[in-house]
This record gives sequence, structure tokens and C-alpha cells, in this order.
Amino acid sequence: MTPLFAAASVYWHLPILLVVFSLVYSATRHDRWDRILWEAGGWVVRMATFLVGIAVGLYVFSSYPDYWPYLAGAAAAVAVFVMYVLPALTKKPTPPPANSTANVPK
Amino acid sequence: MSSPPPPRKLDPLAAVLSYLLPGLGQVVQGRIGKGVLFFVGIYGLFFYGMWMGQMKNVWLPDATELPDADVPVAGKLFGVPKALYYRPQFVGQFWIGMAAWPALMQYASTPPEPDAETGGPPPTKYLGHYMQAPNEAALNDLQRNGNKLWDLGWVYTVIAGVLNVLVIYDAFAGPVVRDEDEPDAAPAQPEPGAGS
Repeated sequence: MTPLFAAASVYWHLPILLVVFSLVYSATRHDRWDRILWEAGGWVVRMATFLVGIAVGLYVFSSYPDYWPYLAGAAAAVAVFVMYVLPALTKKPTPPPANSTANVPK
Repeated sequence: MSSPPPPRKLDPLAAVLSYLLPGLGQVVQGRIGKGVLFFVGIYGLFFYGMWMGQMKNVWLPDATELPDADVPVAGKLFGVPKALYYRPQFVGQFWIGMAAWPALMQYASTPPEPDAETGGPPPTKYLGHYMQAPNEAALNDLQRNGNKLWDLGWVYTVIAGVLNVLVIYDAFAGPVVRDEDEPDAAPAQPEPGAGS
């Protein structure tokens, strides 16, 4: 067994934690099964994305230590894009309030 | 304008039942599917974590002989608070309910004198070594010669215990989001005879 695989083998236990945590947590927020499963799926995806992102980042940094300023800059650019640019691009227009007369044709 | 929903009816008995056995309060309330989900999920996570730690990661140590625990505000600790100071994981594990009670029984019944043959704590009458505080040599062995599974295992048991706090709250006051309050939920049917 290579050292890398030996170290990684611990992480094969994580999916169980992700699934159980997501299901139980979501079931404490809703009573309807469709909403429980929908929210649990969202939590699994978010947590798995976060963990995989951390793992990929650490792997890249440890594999290419001499390029860390460029990698850190690229990581910061991705973070800014995901946190600020992407929400602005995908933002849905808010509908006017029901009693608003702003869009009523004269 | 819709009227605000009526306040929730609190159910302390169900909360106590869900502490004792995860999901039992929900089953008593008639939410059987959720109760079974809580029971299987939380007990599954707790005992899976114990299995990862070779069934030796849930305990409350006898801290009588250990150095003083001097906490800034509370001062010197004694008894169970001192034991929790040395084993804070049990603060989370405790909320799993009856499954953690053997650790309390071991804490109360294990004699302080070590076993003459093994040097570790002697087995108690009914529980043996189950959830008994290991001696320092065994603890060092678990952490030094394992593949970190022992450490990850106690994390699982703590998460299971803390998740059960949410389950207890769900039994006490219902789910956090009342689905009938959300805008895309079906409108509530008027009660028969109402508004006539």
C-alpha cells in the first residue's frame, strides 16, 4: 500500500457522515419528505464540493510548491468569481410589489 | 394579508423520549418515518464511530488523581465537571441518550485501583470494559499504532450526539421550517363550518 493511498483510505468513511448528517439535519428542518430529500441533496453537494475543493487545493499546492504565488492568485480569482460575480450574473429580477403603480400603463 | 400561524404546541415528553432513544419522540407523535430515520441515522453514525475507534472512544475518565483543572471563571473543578474538562468529547456524546449511559455507569462504578495483572482498569460486573476509560498506555497505543481511524471515530460519535440535540428540538417544537408557512405550499383548507 502506497503512503498516499494509506493516508487517503481514512477519507472513504466520510460519505457516510455526509449522507447521515444531511438527512438528519434536513429532517429537523422539514416534515415533508420531498423537501427533506431536496435539502439533504443540496447539503451533500455543498459539503462534498467544499471538501473536494480543499483536497484538490492542498494536492496542487503540495505538488507544485514553487508556483504557490500563481496558484494562490488563481484560487483567489476563483473565489471572487464564485462569491461575487456568479451571484450577480445569475440574480433573478425581483418582481414589483403587488400595490406598485410603477409599471402600470397609462 | 394572511393571518400569522397559530403558535406551536410544545411537547416536552416527546423531547425526553427523543433524548432517551433518537426518534422515539417523533414515533410517539405519529411521525413514524422521521423517527425511524433519526434512529437509524443517529445510532448508525454513533456506533459506526465507535467501531472505527475499536469501541474505545466513548468514556468519562476518573479525574480524581489528575492535576487540578483550574478554569478562569469557575475556579477549580471537581467530580464530573473535572472529568469533562479532561474528556470534553463526552459533552457531545452524552446527548446520544441511553447509548452513552454505560460510560456514566463505568465512571461511577470502576474502582480506582488498577488491575494487578493487566495494569489497566479492572472490568466492572455487568459492562466489563465497555465504555470504560482506558489507561494511558492503551490510549497511547490506540493513537500511535492506528491509522487515524480512532480519532475520526470519536468525531463521528460527537457529531451523532450533537445531531440528536436537533432531533430533541424537533420533537419538542416541531421542524424549524413549517412547510405550510412557505409561499409555494398548498393553501390550508378551511375547517368544516368555519366562515359560514
